[in-house]
Amino acid sequence: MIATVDRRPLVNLTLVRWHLIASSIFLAISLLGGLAYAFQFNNMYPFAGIEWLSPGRVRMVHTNMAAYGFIANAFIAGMLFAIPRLTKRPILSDQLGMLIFVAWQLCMVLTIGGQLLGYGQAIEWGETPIFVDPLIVVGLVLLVVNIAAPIVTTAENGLYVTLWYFLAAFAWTGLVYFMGNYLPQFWVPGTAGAAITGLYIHDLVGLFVTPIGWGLMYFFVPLLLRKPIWSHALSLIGFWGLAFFYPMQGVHHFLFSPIPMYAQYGAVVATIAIEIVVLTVLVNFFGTLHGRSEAVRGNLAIRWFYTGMIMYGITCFQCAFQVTLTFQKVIHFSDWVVGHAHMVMFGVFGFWIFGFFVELWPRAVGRAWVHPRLLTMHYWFTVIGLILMIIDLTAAGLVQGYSWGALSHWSKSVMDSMPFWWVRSVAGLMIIAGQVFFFYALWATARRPAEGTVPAPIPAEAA
Amino acid sequence: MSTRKPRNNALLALMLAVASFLSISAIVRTALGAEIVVAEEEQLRHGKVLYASYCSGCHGVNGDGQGPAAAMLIVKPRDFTSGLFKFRSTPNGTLPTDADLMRTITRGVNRTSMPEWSLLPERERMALVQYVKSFYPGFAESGPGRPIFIPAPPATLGSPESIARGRQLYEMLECGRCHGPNGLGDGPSAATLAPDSWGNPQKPFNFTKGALKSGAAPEDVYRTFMTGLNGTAMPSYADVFDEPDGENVKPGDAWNLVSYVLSLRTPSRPGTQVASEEGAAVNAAYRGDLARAGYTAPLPEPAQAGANKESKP
Amino acid sequence: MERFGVTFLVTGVVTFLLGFFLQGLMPVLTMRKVPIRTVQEVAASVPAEFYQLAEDYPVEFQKSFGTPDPTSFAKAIQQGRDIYISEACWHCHSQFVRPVANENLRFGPVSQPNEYQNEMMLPHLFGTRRVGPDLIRESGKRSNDWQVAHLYDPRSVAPYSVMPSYTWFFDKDKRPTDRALAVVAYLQWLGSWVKDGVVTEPGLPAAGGQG
Repeated sequence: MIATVDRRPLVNLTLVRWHLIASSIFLAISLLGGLAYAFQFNNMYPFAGIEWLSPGRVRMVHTNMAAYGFIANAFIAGMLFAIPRLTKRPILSDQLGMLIFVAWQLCMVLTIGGQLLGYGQAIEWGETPIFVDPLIVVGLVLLVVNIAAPIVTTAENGLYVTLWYFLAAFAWTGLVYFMGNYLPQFWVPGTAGAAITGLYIHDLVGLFVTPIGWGLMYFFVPLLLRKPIWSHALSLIGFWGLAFFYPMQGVHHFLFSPIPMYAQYGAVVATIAIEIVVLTVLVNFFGTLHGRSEAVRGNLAIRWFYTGMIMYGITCFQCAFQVTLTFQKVIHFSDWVVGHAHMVMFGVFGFWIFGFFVELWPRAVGRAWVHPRLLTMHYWFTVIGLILMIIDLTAAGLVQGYSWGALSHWSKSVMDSMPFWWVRSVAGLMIIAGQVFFFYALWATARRPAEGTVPAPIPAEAA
Repeated sequence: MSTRKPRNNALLALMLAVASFLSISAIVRTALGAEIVVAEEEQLRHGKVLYASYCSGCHGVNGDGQGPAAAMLIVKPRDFTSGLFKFRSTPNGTLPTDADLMRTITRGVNRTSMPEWSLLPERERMALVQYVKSFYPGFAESGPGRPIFIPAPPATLGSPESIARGRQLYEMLECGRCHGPNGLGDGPSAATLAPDSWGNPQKPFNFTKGALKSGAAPEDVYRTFMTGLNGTAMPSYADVFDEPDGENVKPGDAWNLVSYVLSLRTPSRPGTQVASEEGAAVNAAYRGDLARAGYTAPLPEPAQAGANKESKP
Repeated sequence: MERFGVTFLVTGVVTFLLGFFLQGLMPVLTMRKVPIRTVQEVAASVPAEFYQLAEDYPVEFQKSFGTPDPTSFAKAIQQGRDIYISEACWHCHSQFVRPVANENLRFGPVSQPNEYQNEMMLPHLFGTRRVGPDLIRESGKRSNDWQVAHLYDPRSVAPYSVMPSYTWFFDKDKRPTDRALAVVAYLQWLGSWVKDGVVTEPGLPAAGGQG
């Protein structure tokens, strides 16, 4: 099932390396932006009074770089590695790959510049300036042409589940991006526009990040565990359930808004349905782990993957409740939602990306990790920092929601949130401290004299 | 002699009873008084904390109206140390009651930077009242004035006759010298008014442009011209209306002036359309869906016109 | 294998369209009959606060917008909305009142679909978080000078606030520039269609006149 050896002509490791480098650079930018923004809530904003570093603008950079700089780049790297190995065919063109790489980073730089100069767009998760949007759509189309070509032309008999997810995501991503960034901006105002934006917010997570993320998991987990996925039937249910239910839950971001109620109910039902589907996927992966659970201790990549999956389980469990009207009365517009978003984007997909970073970076630079212990530190700092942040923000959300519902003066909800916002900043510092180890390890590994061997997956508790 | 002895005893018993009653009540009073003093101090401490987080930005930590925001505000924040308060139910020149201060804090002052604080718990607003009073020693020395009596508004309030009569009074009492012939605040004296007692420029009120400062209930307007606004050129007209001479001013005329002032405020627009036909349809569908789900009570119905909230013309 | 691969691409398109139809297109269809009013139509009803703004900052107002009338009001609220977007105000301030959690008692009447059917809501600014309060009923709640002072230094009027200062809306003498005035005009527009506690429709022809 998994293609073997002979990677050289298959995988363009240079491209993989560049995307990984870009991914880590944008991760750093995103995290620093998030930290600065968190400090605003302690009234300690480091760039106060500088127009183009205003907290509102920096927040756009924080979220957009997390999604399009960090996650998208890393996913492209992962797909550039996985697709040729699964199809036994290289990507369409290495030159095109390089062009897409450069174009994508250009989009990111333009996005940062545009947002800081005040050209942000008022679409959540689509704050990329309007003049960048066409570039991104073109970039996505080129990317699809480049990396879908081996899937379409493969001689392999039967497509592996990873490729189902990738193919569906290819169709989804461009459509979703176009829909979300253009319809509410130019043609559909008000409540109907809000419905479409809600759809976009959710589709970005559900139809771009999630399928590619799961696709990569279906590829990397069996690869590293050296055993096939537990149940083919469950992966079928998982894929078709996701494909059917995920696209129809956008409005759950605006419950109790003046969007027609049938759309709100539909979104709630579809969201609860998808949590059941999620359960089957999780069962499948933990079934795969069964019998090899010592890998979680011994293999850092696997540990990241499964930590992310546990986070995914928690997220979806939380989601099934918070999407109900009952919960929404209290938690809507509160920090609970912020905690939830961090758990999904960083706790799940960020963690998976760290997992295959651990696996791909030594291959991409052709050197073994220099300081494996630093990676272990990275793991613990990041995980503990993030869990602290999630618990803190969830609790803060409840405090805020009940404070508002109790009709206490607005200032009460702000003042009562202060301690939570301090803890959030500390948690953010902890996560960033973890990334410092990580970045240093990346740097030191790339600088180490070449040995010419591709190392085996490293044990986490080594050194 | 034997006859006087029981009387002596009775007198003695009475004296003893009185003495013990006085001493016991003195002890109780002292104890209770101490308790009250402690409670008052506690309230002041509470008020000080609240004042620092809600009021000090404009009114200043010293209550002198010189908070950090004061320089940027056009209608200047009140200086509590002056002892002059505009919105009172007490006669001109006296201090306001606790209820007056409470009302101003709760409602805010429309068309100025003073927001409403109705969502602060009553206990906190009361503590703020006590703390604000502590800036001016007169509150402790002489206390507030005696509130005026505001009778119930008559049924004729707001009728065309009442408004017309109010217009006559408005002209007769020369309200227009400051407030302008049509209540626009552009009377002949408007430009020449001396600064108010706090040294800020005075501007006669324009009745036509939105909310009234101290509330738009008939009683609020009545109260304002019967008590005047301390520290400003707005006098009290209590002497005119309290003893009507029967010729120029008749009993009950005060309410006619209220009618006229309120008629300036709200240009009535009968038959104002609330929503387009299509808009009303989608609203009704939305309301219906929510109602079926059990969320009925707070939804705005077109029939609920004239809500409690002070609104724009 | 080509056909098999194409299945998944087609699946992507079909499921996307199904979701888009149920969650995006149907709300559009529900709203299709409510006319989408232009900014000029919406600005025909100028709230009293805008006239007051011209009185409060006569020199600056004259320089930025001229005289207060529907044309200058349209210009001001459009510019204000653009600033609201570029500073990402909508990240911390929502723009709809829900029918639950006592929000009608705190902010004002519950939001209704027809209020949002105009070009000022293109894109809609429903928001994503309430660090600060909802703003869809903000008109007339605070005076213009409070809003201006609050933009310059939020903690001067609200010591507990965590809002950033927008000092770049002001000149060296702390006088508001056109940007500050535009934002204030926009804030005073939000909810100006609520009259005497009744929610009307922004830009409704019959609801003309001043205020």
